[in-house]
Amino acid sequence: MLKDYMKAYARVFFVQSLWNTERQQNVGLLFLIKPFLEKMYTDPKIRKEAFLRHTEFFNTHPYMTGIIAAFVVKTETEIAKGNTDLISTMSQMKRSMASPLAAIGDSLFSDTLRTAIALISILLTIVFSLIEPDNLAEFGILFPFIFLVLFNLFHIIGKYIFMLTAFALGQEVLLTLAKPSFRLAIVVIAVLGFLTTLLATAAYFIFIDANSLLGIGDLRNILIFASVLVLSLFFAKKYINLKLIITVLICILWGYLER
Amino acid sequence: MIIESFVILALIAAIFNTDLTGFGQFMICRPIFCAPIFGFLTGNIVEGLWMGMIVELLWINAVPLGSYLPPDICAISILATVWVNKFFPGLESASCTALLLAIPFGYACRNIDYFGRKINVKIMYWIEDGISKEQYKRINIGIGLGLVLFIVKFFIFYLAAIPLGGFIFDLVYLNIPNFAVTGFKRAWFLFPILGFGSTLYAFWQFRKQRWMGR
Repeated sequence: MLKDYMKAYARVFFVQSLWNTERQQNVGLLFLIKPFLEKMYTDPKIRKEAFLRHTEFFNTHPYMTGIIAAFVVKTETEIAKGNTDLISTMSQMKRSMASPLAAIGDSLFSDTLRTAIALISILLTIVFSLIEPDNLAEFGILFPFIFLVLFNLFHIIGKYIFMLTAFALGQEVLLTLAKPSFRLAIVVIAVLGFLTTLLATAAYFIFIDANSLLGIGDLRNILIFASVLVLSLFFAKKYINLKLIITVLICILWGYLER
Repeated sequence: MIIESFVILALIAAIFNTDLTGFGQFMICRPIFCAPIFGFLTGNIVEGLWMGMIVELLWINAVPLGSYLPPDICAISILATVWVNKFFPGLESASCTALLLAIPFGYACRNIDYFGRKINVKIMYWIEDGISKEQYKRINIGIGLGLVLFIVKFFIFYLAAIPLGGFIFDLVYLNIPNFAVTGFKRAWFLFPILGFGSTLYAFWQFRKQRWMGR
């Protein structure tokens, strides 16, 4: 059985390889559960029906697909044993699990963990540029790998644990993920990310000021830095291109007036 | 430059870009990783580090969600790094120009990706037909085809974008007046602050929402 789990785990990484605009991850999920379905159903007609059941629309966070796959395998095992009532509810159950799991995946991996680890790598790059600017070319390659290794430590192990837990607990895994302790862990990562961003912002200001990169005095440096930060906070996640264009235009105008 | 050949660079870039959706999601497609690697491959890792840092900060929350596809920031960071290192290495104003010029290419790459996903629908129907005929091997073949399609479409994109964009970049940068060059240089150092602002806001909002249970 462990061999089958490992096989399914290896397939989790391909879940979006045939992502399509119509039914999104449906083929990815089929690819994941295929070894189980082939083993479970020996009657060709019933096997075909089982496969066709999962050609419907399916989409969730790619890191959480393993959980739903485990649930599907558990339910299909029951159906194969003769509990055919589950056929009619499975589709609905799959859909009802996909959305909360996508939200959890986004909160945990995309919005907090990845961002926080990226910020750690950025902070280290800026601090290293301040302390050892001449050695940045030599040791700079380390920083992107710090991001990659740290993130994938959580990603690869997390995916595995999620999937195995789902194989053990079935749908109850959702209750585990909804526990306050799990939510608190996400908040802690977000707070750490926030503090790292503050530190990185301060380190970057020191870097700019120490190297006179804007070509102006101390007080004006602070003023410009603060203005851009406020502009960015004001527009926040929206209008990224507009923010870039405004910044460039102001800088060009500044250069023009300085001629 | 360690790798001079556009073909090899395009192939490596395509593999990196496939990580975004096609395989793994190990985050080798994130600018913070791929830009320094391309900086290293094209002879100036420091350029890649800064480019990666800036693009990552600006689009830190840009991830494909369902059918929403943000501009391809992997393409933006790789193209800008390669162009700068090829034509004007070490010039901040050139880095800024390259980044701005790479943004439309990022959108083009996103659209190509979307087109590829539409082609995947045809493969999906072919698989469904195969299941009806009890040909389950089509699932594995389809997954393989999808993966190859991801790599091929990105490879073609980079093969065209690296030289074409490089030519445009060279032409544009050489014709920028001096005062604008100073402006671009300053803007380059201000870009990370824009990113820090967005990140602070995102973390603050997220923490607040989670804490209040909304």
